[in-house]
Amino acid sequence: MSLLASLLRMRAATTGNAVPTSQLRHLHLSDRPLMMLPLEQTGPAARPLAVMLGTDPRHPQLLVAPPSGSTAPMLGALAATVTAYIDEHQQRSEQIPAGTNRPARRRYTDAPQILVPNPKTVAYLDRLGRDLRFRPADTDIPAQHGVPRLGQWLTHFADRAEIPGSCALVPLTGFLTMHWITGQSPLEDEDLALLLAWIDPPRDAASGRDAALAAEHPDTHRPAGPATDARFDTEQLAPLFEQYARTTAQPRALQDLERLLAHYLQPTWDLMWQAYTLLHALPEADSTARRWNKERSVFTDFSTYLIQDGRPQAARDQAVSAAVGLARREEATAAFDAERAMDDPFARAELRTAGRAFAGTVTTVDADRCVRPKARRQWRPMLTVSTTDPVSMEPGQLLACHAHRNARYKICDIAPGSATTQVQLEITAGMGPESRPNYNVLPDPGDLLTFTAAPDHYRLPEFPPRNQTPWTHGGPPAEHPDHEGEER
Amino acid sequence: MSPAPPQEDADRATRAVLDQLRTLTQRGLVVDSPPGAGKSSLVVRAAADLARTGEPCVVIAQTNSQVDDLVRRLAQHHPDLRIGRLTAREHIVPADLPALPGVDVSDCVQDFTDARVIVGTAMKWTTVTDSPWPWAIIDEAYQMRSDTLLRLAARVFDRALFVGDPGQLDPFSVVETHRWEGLTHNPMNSAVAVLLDKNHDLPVHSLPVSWRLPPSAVSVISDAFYPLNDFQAGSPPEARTLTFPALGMRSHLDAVVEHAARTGWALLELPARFTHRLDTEAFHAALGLAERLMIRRATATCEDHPQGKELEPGDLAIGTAHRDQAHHIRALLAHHHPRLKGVTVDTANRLQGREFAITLVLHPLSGRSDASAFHLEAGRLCVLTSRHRHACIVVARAGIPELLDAHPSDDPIHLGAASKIPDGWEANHTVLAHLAQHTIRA
Amino acid sequence: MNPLDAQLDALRGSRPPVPHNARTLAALTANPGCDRRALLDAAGVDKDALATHLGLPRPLRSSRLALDHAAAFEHRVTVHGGAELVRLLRKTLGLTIPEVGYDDVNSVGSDSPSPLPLRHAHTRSRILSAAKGTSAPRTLLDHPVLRLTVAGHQVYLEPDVVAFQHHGTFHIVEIKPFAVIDGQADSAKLTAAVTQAAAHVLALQELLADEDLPPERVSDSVILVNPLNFSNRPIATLVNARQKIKSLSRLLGRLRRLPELLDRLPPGTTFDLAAGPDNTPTRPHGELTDALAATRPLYTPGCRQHCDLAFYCRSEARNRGTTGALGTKVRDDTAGIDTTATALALTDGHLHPSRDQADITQALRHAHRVHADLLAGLA
Repeated sequence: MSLLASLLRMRAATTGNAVPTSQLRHLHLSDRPLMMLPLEQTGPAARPLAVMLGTDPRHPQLLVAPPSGSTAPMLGALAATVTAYIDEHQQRSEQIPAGTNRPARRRYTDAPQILVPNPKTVAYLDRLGRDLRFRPADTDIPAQHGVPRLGQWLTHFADRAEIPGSCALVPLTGFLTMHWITGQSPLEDEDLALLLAWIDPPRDAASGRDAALAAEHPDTHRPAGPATDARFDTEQLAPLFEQYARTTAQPRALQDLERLLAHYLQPTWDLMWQAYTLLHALPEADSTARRWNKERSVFTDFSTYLIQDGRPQAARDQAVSAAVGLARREEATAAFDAERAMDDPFARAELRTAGRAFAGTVTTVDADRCVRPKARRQWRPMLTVSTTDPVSMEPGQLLACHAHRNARYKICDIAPGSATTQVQLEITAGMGPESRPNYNVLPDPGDLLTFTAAPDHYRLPEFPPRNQTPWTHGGPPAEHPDHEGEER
Repeated sequence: MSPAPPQEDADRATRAVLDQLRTLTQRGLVVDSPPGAGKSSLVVRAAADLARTGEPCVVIAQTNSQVDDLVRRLAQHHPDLRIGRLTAREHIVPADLPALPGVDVSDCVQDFTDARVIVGTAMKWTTVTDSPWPWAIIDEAYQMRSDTLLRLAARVFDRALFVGDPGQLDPFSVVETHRWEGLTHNPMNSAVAVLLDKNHDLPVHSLPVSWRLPPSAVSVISDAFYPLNDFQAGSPPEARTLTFPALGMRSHLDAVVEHAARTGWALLELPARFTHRLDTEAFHAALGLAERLMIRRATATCEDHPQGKELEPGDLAIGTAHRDQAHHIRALLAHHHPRLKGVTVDTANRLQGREFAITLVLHPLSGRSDASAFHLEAGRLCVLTSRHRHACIVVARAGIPELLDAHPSDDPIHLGAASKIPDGWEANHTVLAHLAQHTIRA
Repeated sequence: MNPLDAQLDALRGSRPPVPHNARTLAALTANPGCDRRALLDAAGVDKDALATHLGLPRPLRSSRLALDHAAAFEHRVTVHGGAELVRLLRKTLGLTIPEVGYDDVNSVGSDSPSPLPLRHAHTRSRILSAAKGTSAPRTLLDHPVLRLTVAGHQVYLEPDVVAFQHHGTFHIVEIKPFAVIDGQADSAKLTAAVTQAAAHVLALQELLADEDLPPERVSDSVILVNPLNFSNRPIATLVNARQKIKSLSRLLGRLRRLPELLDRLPPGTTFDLAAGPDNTPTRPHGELTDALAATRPLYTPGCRQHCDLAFYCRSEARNRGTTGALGTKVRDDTAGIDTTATALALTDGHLHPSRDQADITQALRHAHRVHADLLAGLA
């Protein structure tokens, strides 16, 4: 969040209406996402209460777990739906030619995408995945064979959700706040109903603020899960649970529960599709396609892993996998930030207010300048940019510019004046090979450009294999020691 | 029992480290070093010792300037040793290095055919794929992240001496996740934290004498930031003096510098006000103080200059929490204070490991409406208040104690994660309680 | 009655005080800068009843299902003379079999109208005899009652269990229904549990100190007993609570400024709900909001997680346009400016910045210019 975001939040609070921010979508949005709205039973860890899910807004599937006793049938049904959805994306693949460090391979042409209401639901699916993936697969009931596999998939999706720029499992509140700023606090933005009330109020509401106040009314407000609210628990669920425990007609009690939960979940289900429609209308940013390719590669790789190895992911990361995980996240963060800065004028505007970018007019261009630091002459054009932005960078800083993504510019001098600052830049990369210089990299005087701090060059580091974990980190770990001796 | 004389105390500690290194049965040894306790000297001596046993010794530091500095010290103290300065291809080594006796510079480790000591940054060493060397010395090990150590230990060395300052800033990542909290091998933790968690039998030494900090600073820095390592000042109080040959003007700035000269500490308290990170008034106050020090020709005596030395701009530093604050102060300095050209202005992160005669510190909590984990971090305040040989002058808005009291103590707890010692909130209280006796209001 | 108590009683009115407990003390640490909360809690005002009477949402209502689950777990751990608990503690604290004895204080004084003082007296004598070694040590005290001085008042606290070790150290044990999964627990719940345990540690230290026994005999590591992974089997974890103990102790010390806060109130200020014959509050809303307005709040959006009055303070903050109502980020970014109206007037040039506001105004105006460029499709 930047000062610009804070200013816009205050504007929204004053006008009562949300302010659009980035108008480019940085996450791929599937034409057929799997919408998933789970509820967790209050009390026992990760025990499901219900899941509403599906790919058709008008015909959600509702799965309800009994208040006590086995959840296996319900989880079996959940596994069947989710696995069928994933299978649909494993039907067609394409050939990817060999790259510099990867051999030629096949990649699925599509990948699954699960949309959930909020970050807490992502965390819940992670916990549920942890529970399910270690369940024994050798049950006698074929309908439940998919449960451990579902656990592996949920774990995989929850892991992906931690990678910036990944679209495999996306909380809708976070997705929406990439594109709109409301006049309430970020904590309140985590409530899907309130957030949407601000962004897309009903026609009869005078403002987003009014709509949000109305949406919050305790009699009609439905938290979007995974926790149910205390009043609903006490007044509605607890009596039904008691009835279920006492009655001999359990199927009927379960039907009552289903009716109650369908009613409870329906408004949030509709909101999720409303959010989807809003997001779908936004045009995709340029680099979204590259990240989508990556997502499909990751999906393909994990599908292959399940076929070839298929052991459940470890309960906690070992030293090497944790280090690799951190490196991957850092790489994805750096790449996502850099690509957004190149793609999206709003991202650049935020960087300007954070002192990580400045915009200005090119005043002079010295196109023919060459330097000779080594034996050979090198073409190093210079330009001067006049800016009214405060330039809080130092000479030597390397910059990038959206107009020429591969070019790099080094700040040679910063001369602050009374109203404008003159920044002298040397182009250090993007000029093409000596034989075929790329003259396009030269801006014209009068061009209006934004220069952002160039991302650090990041290469995914190499780590030792797990069985060569060094002594400093305890040596090679035992095979899957994590869940030994765990009783159920 | 009063401690042994500093030199004796320090020599004994160094000898204990070197003796144990020769006969070590474990694979590693850790040496904790409070600020200015002769860490680099120890690294140089240990490197020379290990190199003489036959196999070349690898030295790993965290930044290029740390590496260059170690190479200079090695060449100066051991001109007979052949030293390799391993460097990244794009890095330009300072011109004086290749000219030093016995020093070779290369970006390829195979070029150092007869080097006895090879020095490089941790980042560069992670790219080296040769078979491991028997010994490495890792300098500033607390600044290194444990995932870097994982890569180094797998390929570069077999056994290692870890040297570092446990009180400084922890390593950092842009990634926000709790998934590794509580794991002994959390890759976001410092290399030493993971090392000691996984190897309980490693001997840990600590250096007992700070040669940098004046006696006036040792007890407060030790109490606030090193509750587990006791150390003493290397110099007697009378050896460190700060005087002003030029008369003052009885301004409050003069009162502040005079108080600091007398006691080693001063807090210039500006009126309470919530400010943006850019508190121009506080910036001017810090620069004004530096200006007073120069105009009044502040003169310092110490062990190196018993006759007194008139301080130059290069002997002063202004420390901040944020980069943009440092940037603004540098801009103000360039425009309005030509006399101060040469004063170092930088963030705590970049002042780590450096030393000055006098530091002027913009308190990280000054002007804030609330304390955040970043601003409370003990390491940040520790770096800022432990760079000086003579005096530390803090500039702050009034109201920090109230800010600390109103700070919700809701820092998340994670099972298995070691609690931070010292905790930032507590360390801040300790330092403020000390500064309360040295406060001068603007 | 001392004058402070009289003042607090007047503030609360006719209802009996809602006593502090470990949970409310823990909540103090969540927003120690809020004078409103400090006053209302000190006077024992029923904030939930106040919010209900004002027709506000009640953010802290508890769920029947959650309470049932917690009770069932605690029962499982302490049933049969604490057999399961003894097994866990033996492992965690290294107790040897002969030392284990179990004493349930819950039943003491159960037919008395005010059992807490009786249970406290019982607890005290058991702990002191264990500490002084004058009796065979009772290793486990279930449902003991401790007393802590908060702002000059005696507050009764009920830790789940106090465990006594043969080395002479007392441990506070908290039995909590949230799961520990692969060694990790929900951080918010964990933090709340450890802060509550810190209150219990302080109370136990006070008990020992009153008898000139060293308070260090209370360990600053507390023991949490939680369900393991997805089962309802308990697991015990030793957690260092040193930091929470220190900060809570400091915060409690700060409550001594209570008289100062009371003196700032207009004479006659009271939060009495004026219960009618059928116990329904009859106090006009306007009088209550006037009384609330006399106290200084420190609202943050996070208040709803620990304060019954959060929604009242939120609408107040929103009506005033307080920047903090929009979250800490906005408040930080506009440091020194109280309201969004002022911030925007400075941004748009309708207000001339004071010297104090010059820097922040410049930054806001720059942000505004950048946004204007964006809307104009420039840059």
